[in-house]
Amino acid sequence: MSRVGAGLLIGWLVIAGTARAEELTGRQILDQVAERHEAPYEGEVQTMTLVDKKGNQEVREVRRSVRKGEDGQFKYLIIFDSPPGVKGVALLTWQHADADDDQWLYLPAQGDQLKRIAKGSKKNYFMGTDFTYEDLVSESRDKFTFTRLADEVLDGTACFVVDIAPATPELAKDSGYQKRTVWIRQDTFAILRTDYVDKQGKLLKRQTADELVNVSGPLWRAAMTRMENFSNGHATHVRVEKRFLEESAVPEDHFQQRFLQSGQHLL
Amino acid sequence: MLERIFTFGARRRIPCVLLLVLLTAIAVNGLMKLRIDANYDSFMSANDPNYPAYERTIEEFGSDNTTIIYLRDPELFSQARLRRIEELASALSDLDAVERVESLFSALNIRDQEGMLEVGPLMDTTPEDPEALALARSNALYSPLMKRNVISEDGQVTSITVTAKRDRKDPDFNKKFFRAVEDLLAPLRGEFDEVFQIGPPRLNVEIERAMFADIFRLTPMATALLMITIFCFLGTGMAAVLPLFTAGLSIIWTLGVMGYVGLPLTLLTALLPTLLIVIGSAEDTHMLSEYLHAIASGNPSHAGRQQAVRLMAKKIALPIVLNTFTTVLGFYANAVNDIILIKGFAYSSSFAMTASFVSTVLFLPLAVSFFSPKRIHLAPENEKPHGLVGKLVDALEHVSTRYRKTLVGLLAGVVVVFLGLALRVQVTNDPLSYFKPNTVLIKDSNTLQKDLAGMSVFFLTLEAKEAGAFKRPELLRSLDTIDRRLDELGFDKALSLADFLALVNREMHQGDPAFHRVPDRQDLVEQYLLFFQREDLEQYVDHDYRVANMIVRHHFSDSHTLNQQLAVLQRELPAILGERVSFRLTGENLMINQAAESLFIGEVQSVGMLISVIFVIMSLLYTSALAGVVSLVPNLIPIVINFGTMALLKIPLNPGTAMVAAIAIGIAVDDTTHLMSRYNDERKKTADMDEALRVTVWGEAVPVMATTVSLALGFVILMSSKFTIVAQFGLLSAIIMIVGLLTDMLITPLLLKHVRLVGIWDILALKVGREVVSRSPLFEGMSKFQIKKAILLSRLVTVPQSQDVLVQGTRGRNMYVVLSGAVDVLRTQEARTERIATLRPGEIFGEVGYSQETERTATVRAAAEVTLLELEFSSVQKALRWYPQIAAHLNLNISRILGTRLAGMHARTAHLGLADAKA
Repeated sequence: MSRVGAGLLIGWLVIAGTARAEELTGRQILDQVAERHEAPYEGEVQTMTLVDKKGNQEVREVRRSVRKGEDGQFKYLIIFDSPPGVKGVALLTWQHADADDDQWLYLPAQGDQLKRIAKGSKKNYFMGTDFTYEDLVSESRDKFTFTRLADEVLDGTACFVVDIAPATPELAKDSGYQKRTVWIRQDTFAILRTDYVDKQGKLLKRQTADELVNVSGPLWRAAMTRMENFSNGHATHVRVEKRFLEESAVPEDHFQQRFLQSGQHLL
Repeated sequence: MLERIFTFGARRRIPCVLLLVLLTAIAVNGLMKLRIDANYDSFMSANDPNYPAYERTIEEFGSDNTTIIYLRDPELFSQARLRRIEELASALSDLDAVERVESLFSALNIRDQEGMLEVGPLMDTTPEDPEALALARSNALYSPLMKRNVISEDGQVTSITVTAKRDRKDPDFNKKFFRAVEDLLAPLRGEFDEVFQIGPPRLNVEIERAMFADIFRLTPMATALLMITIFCFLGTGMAAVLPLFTAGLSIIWTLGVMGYVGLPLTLLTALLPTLLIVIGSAEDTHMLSEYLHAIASGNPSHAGRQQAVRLMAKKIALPIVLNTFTTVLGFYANAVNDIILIKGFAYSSSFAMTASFVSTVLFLPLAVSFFSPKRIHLAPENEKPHGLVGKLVDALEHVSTRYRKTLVGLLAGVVVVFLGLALRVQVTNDPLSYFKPNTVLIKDSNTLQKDLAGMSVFFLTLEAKEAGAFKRPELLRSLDTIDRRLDELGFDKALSLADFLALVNREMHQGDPAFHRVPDRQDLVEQYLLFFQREDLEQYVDHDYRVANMIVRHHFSDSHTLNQQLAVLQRELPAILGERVSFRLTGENLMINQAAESLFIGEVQSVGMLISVIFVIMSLLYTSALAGVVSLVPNLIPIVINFGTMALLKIPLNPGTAMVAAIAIGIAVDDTTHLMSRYNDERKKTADMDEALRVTVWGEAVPVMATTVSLALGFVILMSSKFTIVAQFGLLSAIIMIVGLLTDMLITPLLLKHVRLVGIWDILALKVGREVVSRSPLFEGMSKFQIKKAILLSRLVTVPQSQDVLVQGTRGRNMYVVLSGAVDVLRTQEARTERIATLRPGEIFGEVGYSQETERTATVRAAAEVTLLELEFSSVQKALRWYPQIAAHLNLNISRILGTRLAGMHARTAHLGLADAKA
């Protein structure tokens, strides 16, 4: 499963249960998801295609790196390799357990100073895609409530269906969604679909995971993730061209400002 | 033929009633199909060449059918108000056909706060704490993209802009859309200080409301007025009521046919009931006036009424047909106009006038064959009218005889001055200008413009040759230059891609105003563009950055100013953009405003066509081009006055006023034809031109003034219409009617004094004996048509048996042709009277006196009742001035006759001389 579409899952603590499928709560199901599909180090080379409502496409090549720190928090780095005008643009994110994330934007044309992105911008869309920052990062499951809904069959596969909503009004303020509904394969606990419901209760977006492949052990990833935005007819398709799971692919120094300022991130 | 048609109702009453019932029943069925069209795009030109470009633009950048919802409250940024706005925006986006909803909840916030950049929606939901509410307010007011767009400068007004893709197949789309929005706004009215929607849907609804208000208000007013004026002039209740029936019938027929053929009820065709009552009654008044005159001199029994109908038909049929023709033509002439609204009105109204003619011709004779007024107050035909009309006739006669030269000079001066003024008339076609300034719609529009920006929108689309062109700083800077120029030219708000980039540039430099400009480098542009979602920019640039679109909002409600400012812009754009970028200005609002230019062309074409047709028809009917000139001169003056008045009163040429000239000539020429026809009749009765003119004016004063005054007052009623363009149409038509009346009463008699007209119908109706044609030396070499014309240019006299036509020894310059009967030529010599000849049809006498005034050498006495053609030298010469061919023939023939006479005398003298010699 692509990290882009599944960021939600990544940082959740593993509370593996042995309960039978029909007895699992929503929370337990999502715990299973995290247990099976979390990877501490991950690098991807992606082709990101933005499709507007008329079908016009804009293609970008992106590198995405994720590294779990010693404190259990993740750091993310997204680097644009093409088109040429945006080559070298990078977004660095440091997640914190009890504070807002830190984000820096590096625009090569702007000079070597990184621009801090304001805190609380998680709800904003990321670089013209249909993903918001909160779609791309993972958060503690304690911040959410989980409601298991009736199981469904999706594309011939039995799925758990779980509603996920912010646990408190304060947390709700930071999120762009009223809730998310996820469809999870009962056999592999891989997420097949996520529906995003906006604060007015309307279905805003749908993320689907296609071409699921078993990359390692219980770990499954989608080779293609699609995010459709129903409010504007726009869509973002992410195809993972290459994937690296070893630590050396995402060394700690890549997640530092100086790595970007020095231009080392450029291929 | 015409007489038979005009008496049909009186002669064949049952078939006529059945025909009327049948026609009405068919029309009522059509009436059920009548469609209402208050849609905005009927104000456009049907053949607008910009339409394909417009469709391309809205396909690429979205519809310009935007409804703006205005919400004002001092506590706008309170949780309660914002929550309502949020709910409203959400509900609006759920409406059918809505493409886009822009509000505080979708506005893009780009701001640097203490070195940290925020790029995202201003609010995704209503903030709950006061701090967040205050921050949202501060961010909104900080953003140049939001200020005067979604928020007023004082932070008390916000707008929600709803873009809907109109279903053009659904004629009620705008109405339904307006109602749906209105339903959502209704609960908010008690909460916010001010709430309204404005945009094309509301405009449509307001037009429709005002249309019906006009129908239900103006029609009864016109009815009451018609009854009062006709009663005042004709003095009988019957005459005041009957035209209402003919008007009623023609209204049903017209609306029925409109239903059948798919011509909709529009803000102009909604006037038809009023116009039919007002204009249609003119024919009724003329016919009733003639009928009442006839009945006054006959008796009111059934036979007397039938006789009166026949007399009426005889006198009035042709002028009525002519008048209907010119009136119909006047209305139809507007069909040359490109604007759909005017075209539809031209078709509907010309049919309406025809229907009015048919209903009058069928119904009036039928009705008067049943009823007759008990008392008739009209003066007999050849007497001066009583009362006020009489005094007015006196005054006009006094002016036109005593101050003729001053009058002509004065009129010429006025015409020249008004012609000069007329050149300053401006054109406009903006839908907002259709409404009166005190209407709620216009007040709301002004409020919107004051607090935010005008409701009118258009697109300036710039097309480069290569993809990515609008990522180049120099082209983006040109967008900025255009933006500033638009501002200088008075446009309210223009947004383009450059505004977004300039804002990011400023905020990437900690909000430094010095950086509020397009970035200098293309790579920076491309990197800044990553901040936006496609949705944020899709209205401003196409996907490959080849075509950029500026959205311009403005408040100009007169096309002249708008088109002038756009012309300036269009002149400057090539220099700003260079050769590699083309541009187009599109939008429904622009196409409507640009159609104003076609108003002028349409005006010239319709008036030109009408003048030409009237000229040709009148020339043919009176067999002289002079008649064409006579009929036009008194009617061209009011047109000049009309345009001059428009300039003086600052009334623009709009879809209402553009029709005035053609319609008014079509109507006003009626009075002229009545006067010409009457004068022609009177001239046959008397050789005294002044007498003929006086009787003409006396006879026609009542119907002409009655119709003109009731028409003018009817048009004045239109001034109370909800629409400015209708009110202006009413005012100008009333002025043109009154001016037309004055010029007709003052100028037409002056012109007629100098011409002698022969009606084609007289020529066709005249029966000339074969002997006259074959035997009269006077008509030798002339065609029968020419002979008839020559006869009609002269005077017919009937002399009873034994009465002298000429008396020996008297002097005179008349010569005579015997048309029927016979005369004896008697010569008295030494107290002995001897009959020297008997002259029969075709023969002539008095020719010597005609050529040179001498003593008559014989007495000519009617042997039986005789009809003679009298040719008086000076009047024949004057009359023939306009018919040179006939004049040449007549003069040649008279010379021949004189020559023959001379030769005969010479032979007789020679014979006498020879006899003397022999003696």
